[in-house]
Amino acid sequence: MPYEAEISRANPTCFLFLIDQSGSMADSFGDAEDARSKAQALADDVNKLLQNLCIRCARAEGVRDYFNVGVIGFGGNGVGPVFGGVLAGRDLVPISEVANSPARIEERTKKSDDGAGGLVSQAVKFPIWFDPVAVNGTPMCQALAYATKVLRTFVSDHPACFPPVVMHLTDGEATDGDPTENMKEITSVASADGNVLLFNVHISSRKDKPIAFPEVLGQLSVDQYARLMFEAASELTPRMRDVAVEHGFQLGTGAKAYTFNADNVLVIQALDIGTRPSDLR
Amino acid sequence: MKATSKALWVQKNGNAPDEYEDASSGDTLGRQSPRRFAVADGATESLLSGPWARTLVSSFCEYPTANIRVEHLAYCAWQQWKEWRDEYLAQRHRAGKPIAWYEEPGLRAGAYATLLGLIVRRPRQGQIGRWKAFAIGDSCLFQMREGLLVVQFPLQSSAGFDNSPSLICSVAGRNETLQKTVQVAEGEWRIGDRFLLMTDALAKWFMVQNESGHSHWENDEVPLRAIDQGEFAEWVDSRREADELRNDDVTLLHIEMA
Repeated sequence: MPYEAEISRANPTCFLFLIDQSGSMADSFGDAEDARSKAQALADDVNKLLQNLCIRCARAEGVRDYFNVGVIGFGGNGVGPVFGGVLAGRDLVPISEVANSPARIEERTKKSDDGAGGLVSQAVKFPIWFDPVAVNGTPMCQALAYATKVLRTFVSDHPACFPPVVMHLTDGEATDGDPTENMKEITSVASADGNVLLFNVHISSRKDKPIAFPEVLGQLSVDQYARLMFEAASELTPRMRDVAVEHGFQLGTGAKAYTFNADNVLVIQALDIGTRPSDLR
Repeated sequence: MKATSKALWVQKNGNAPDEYEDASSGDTLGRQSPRRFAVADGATESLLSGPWARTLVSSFCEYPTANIRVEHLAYCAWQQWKEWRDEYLAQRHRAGKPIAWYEEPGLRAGAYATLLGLIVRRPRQGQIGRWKAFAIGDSCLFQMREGLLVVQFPLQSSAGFDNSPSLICSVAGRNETLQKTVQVAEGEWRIGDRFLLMTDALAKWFMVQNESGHSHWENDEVPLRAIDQGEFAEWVDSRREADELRNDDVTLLHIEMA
């Protein structure tokens, strides 16, 4: 059965984030209570996720290398890894190095329940590995081709790994061609345990109701671009569907790793579902 | 009454022995009756779960009365834990390795572990010996008599294992529902009975064997035979290679009643 490989230090897997850095990412999600641009919100979400991955891998003796992680940006400035600080220029980085090399650590304020019906503010450390960028142009095909190359190297070095998970986060259409073939190619990369899992997380500034992990496209099938992204996305594995249930989704067996018009909450849920694929050993 | 116990364990394949996160303990007070035994399984994704599992089994075995109140037991364990944790933090400080930002949330969240405890009482005159067990989570007890499984507790089938067993936390405030989640069983024992206390991977393997028709066990078969640690590690390796046993920390506390 595919997607059952254990994730261990001897057999790590990899998470690759492809982040849209096009000009439209400067707009907000359209949430009246959150003025952040989509670029800023996504950078916060992925920095927070990297932080959580480090915490999940932390043990008394240090951070265990269960994962290699990369963040590839694509926008008007081109395609390439976006880590800052000493990790700049690196495509995939073992999680222990990620943990020990944030570009900087900010102090942010977290509001939490004070146990008496109110909220209490608490200063928390917020490590930053990369900053938001929004410059016109969406070279999605190039980004997928770049990522395919990175993943081919990873699976050749880790042939029995749990298949790499690609979280492709975008708010628009490719400006460098039709990405259909690039998406087929990236999901054709495989380890002995299965093919690369591609999440197509389409985000939006529109207030339309988000569509999360559909089994069929339904009314969206008239939208050629939505159809392309839906068809190219992988099916969620049983374990990912279990995590989705924790988030309150009721999904059938054919649910796709695809969202349409995602708001920031759904982005965070998709990131969590995609990055808890198996037990750590 | 003589209860001979032997603890056998193997860490996950690929891990170092000091990364083993289960724990087991036989009676540390040298009491004749009642005797106590416990196993615990530290949750891999929590920080310092191995030391917390060790704290839980020793707290169970040292609990002042046989009338165990699980919330009070968790409190006693927490008191022991505070001392251990303070010493650990001081050691890290002395070694020039202060707590890193990625350890802070795990330390705040606390360590988590299952606990399975067994108390065995000497028979009163003219009566039969009795036992009582307490479980939080999916570590399991099996009572064997003449090669047959007499009792399994707390899970009743291999389908009952999932990824979210009940756990005891090292943060005192996070154990408010323990009284509801603890499961208790009681029974009788006879001379020659064996109690096998196992953490989940081995317990599941054993249940699957029983469910698939292996209903009579010989005393020279693992896990009924108290083999030595090296032989047990070889046996665990062979079951892992045969894909019968999940790659997890494995613990077997083998108790023979005489």
